Amino acid sequence: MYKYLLFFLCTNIFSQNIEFTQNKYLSAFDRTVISKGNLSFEKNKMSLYYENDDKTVHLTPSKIIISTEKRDFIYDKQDKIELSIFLSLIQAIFNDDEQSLKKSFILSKNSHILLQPKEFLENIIKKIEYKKDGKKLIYLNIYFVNKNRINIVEN
Amino acid sequence: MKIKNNLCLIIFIFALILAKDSFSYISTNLESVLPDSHKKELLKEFNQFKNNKKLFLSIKGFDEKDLINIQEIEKELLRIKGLSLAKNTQALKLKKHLEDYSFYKNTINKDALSPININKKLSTIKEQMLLDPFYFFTQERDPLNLYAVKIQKNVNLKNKHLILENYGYFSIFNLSSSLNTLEEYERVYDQIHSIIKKDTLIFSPIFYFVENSRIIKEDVNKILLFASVLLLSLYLFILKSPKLLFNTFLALSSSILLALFFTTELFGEISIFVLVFAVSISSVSIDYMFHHYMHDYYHQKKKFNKSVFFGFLTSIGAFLILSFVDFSLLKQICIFSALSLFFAYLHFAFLFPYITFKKRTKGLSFKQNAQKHYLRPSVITFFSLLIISVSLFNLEFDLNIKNLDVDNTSLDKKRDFFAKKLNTKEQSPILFEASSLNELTNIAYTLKQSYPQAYIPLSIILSPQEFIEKKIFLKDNNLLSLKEQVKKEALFLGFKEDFFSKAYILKTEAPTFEQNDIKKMQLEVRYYKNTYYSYAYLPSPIKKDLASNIVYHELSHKHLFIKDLKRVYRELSFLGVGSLVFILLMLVFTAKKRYFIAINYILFPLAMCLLFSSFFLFNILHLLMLFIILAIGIDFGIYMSSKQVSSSTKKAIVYSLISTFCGFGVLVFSNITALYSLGTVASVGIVSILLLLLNSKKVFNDTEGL
Repeated sequence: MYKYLLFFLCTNIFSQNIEFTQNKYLSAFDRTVISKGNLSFEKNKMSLYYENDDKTVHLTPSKIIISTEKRDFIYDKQDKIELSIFLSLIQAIFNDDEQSLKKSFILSKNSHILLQPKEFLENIIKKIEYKKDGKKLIYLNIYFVNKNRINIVEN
Repeated sequence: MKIKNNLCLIIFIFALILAKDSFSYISTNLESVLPDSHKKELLKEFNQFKNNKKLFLSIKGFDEKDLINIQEIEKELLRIKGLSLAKNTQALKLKKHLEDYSFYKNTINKDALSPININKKLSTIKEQMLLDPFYFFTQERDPLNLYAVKIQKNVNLKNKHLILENYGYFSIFNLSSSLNTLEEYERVYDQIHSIIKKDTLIFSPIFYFVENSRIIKEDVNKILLFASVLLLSLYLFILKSPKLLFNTFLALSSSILLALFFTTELFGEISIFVLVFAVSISSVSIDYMFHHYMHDYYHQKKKFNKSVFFGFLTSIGAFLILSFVDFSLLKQICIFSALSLFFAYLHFAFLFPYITFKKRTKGLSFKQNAQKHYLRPSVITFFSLLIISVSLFNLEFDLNIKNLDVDNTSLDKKRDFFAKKLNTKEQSPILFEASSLNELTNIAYTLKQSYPQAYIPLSIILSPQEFIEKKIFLKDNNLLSLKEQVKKEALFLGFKEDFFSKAYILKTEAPTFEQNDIKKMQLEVRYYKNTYYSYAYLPSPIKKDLASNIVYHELSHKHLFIKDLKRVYRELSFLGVGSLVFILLMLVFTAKKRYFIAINYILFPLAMCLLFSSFFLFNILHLLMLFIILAIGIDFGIYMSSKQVSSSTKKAIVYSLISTFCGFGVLVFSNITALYSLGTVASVGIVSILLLLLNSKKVFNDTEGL
């Protein structure tokens, strides 16, 4: 009994939950789609789900797991490369992991942090801007080459 | 009087000044000894490609500490001038070309072609974009998923870092194209090895230049030191006159230096093996001193020593005939030997009689009965000819020139490890050529068609040939109007008009390439002597039925030089026979009635060396040394067939043989095949000559002088 209690306490102490609002501008339709999402960080695992969606996506050091009510789908990161890029980016920004960011982006700091993609990412992403106040994310703007935009604000 | 005595010293100083820069032209690279040919030039061109300037690094394990470890090493290595991390980037010009011709260049996934329900596909995309919050990236270049995805399986990622499957983290570095000299390679090599730890696996093709050069230098130094000490001790023991020894040492050194100066002037760059040969050949040059000295030419006014002169003339003539061979190393050795012998002869025949030397103490004199033998010379001639005829049929030549180089097994293991992990172990490099760039790209395309798994950097671009074939394919599959259909359907579903503007672009003009385009695309093409070259790694063994219009060269040393080597063997055999004829003619003039005695000094060593060669592959240096032994052996033949064979002659011959054996014999202690080969044949040859001398009864009895 104590063991379960201890486990419950630990997982809650070490996990962190962040709620955010995502505005996705779709240039193809000149429309913005707004969704509310939740990010949770545990040791070696980040999970993301959106309200009104039946999936939760988990990012582990080597796999991507997509959980639905019926079953879990496990993928190698290479097989879900786009999702992997997006989730790794979010994880690095929330964890202030500049070392990881520098691998794929040129990082410059001003009133906000500007990330300019390197290598093949520059075919997809034009630039990324984000600003944090301590641990809290003020905003994160991702500008795509196809003129789409994603804006994320922590609630 | 004093000047006369110091003549050798003066000449030595002059030679030293003259040859002081020549040492910088001594090369340890195998390339400097390869047969001069178009192929050698091609190999040099191939070595300039960026692909040969890579550095692979790997650390065993996938733990976090291993990742941190490799990242720290990367950081340290990046501080080295000329090293940068390889990136997966494409030049802008190349990117534009691939974008323009993406519809042609991408492999069309035939499963996605039928039935193409454009409306259904685009509707799904629309639904995902609007309703799926996890849908971040739209494939506006290929909304119908027509392009087959190519997965590169040999290299993978873990924690966003390259890994080698089932081993550990992995990094690839580029070496700057400005790194071209051995000195720069050595700087980079030393800096790298001061950073990496023992458990780190690291390899670059340039390591061969550095490590092999150091192995050769170390080996050569060992041999040179060993031979010098051995010869000096021997001469001190034989001559018992420090002054004569000192002057002999100066005379031999001057001869080597002068020969070195003229050889480097002639060739520009000479192989380090020639330097080793220099010491060995000096053990032959000293014979001229022995014969003059033993016959009291340095104390008494005597006429010109004809035997020594004929011996010298025959040896130098044979070397000069052999020097016509079209193989740098052999040419260098022959020219160097001829020059070295020439200068040594000048010293010993003309200079030494003017220097005052202490009169030698006479050894035991004995009755002159030199022509008595245990075994009749004609019997030896008969058996020698028999052995030669049988051995010639069994002679097998080694056609792999790489066998002459250093056997660097530790580096080979590292190379094989990375090649295996990167799936390139079973691939062989080739260089293909064409007179125009368009034609060259067509060849790259044809090769890729024959070998889809091959690594052919140039095949990344669309060749004019591929353009024509793809256009027919697109037409046959009703894809020429696909772009219009997508546009129409997208508009109908509410997409913005230009959203799929980059999808299925259909360029109607075939691509053409100029030198400048290729340069801007940063593709691996070299222009040399009005021909364009690029390379490919094809699965080995390479099929011999490659399209007939493809001109290609296999780049392994074995394949590249097999024809040249065959030609060199033919040439050398021809020249060798030529020098043999020359030697025999010289014998007619010198030996006359004692022809059989003299000729045995050629036939018997030749027979023994050929008999010995039946046990292993005969390489080009064995063959060269065989002829050199004949050129040296004939000296002994001439001396022994001379009318005035005395105990002094035989003593001189035995001394000469011992010194020649020390000079060439030490080469068998070398770890380098080239030097070892010279040493083995020389040893067999000299032992054979010694056996012939022992066959002469009086020499056998005259041991006191020794």
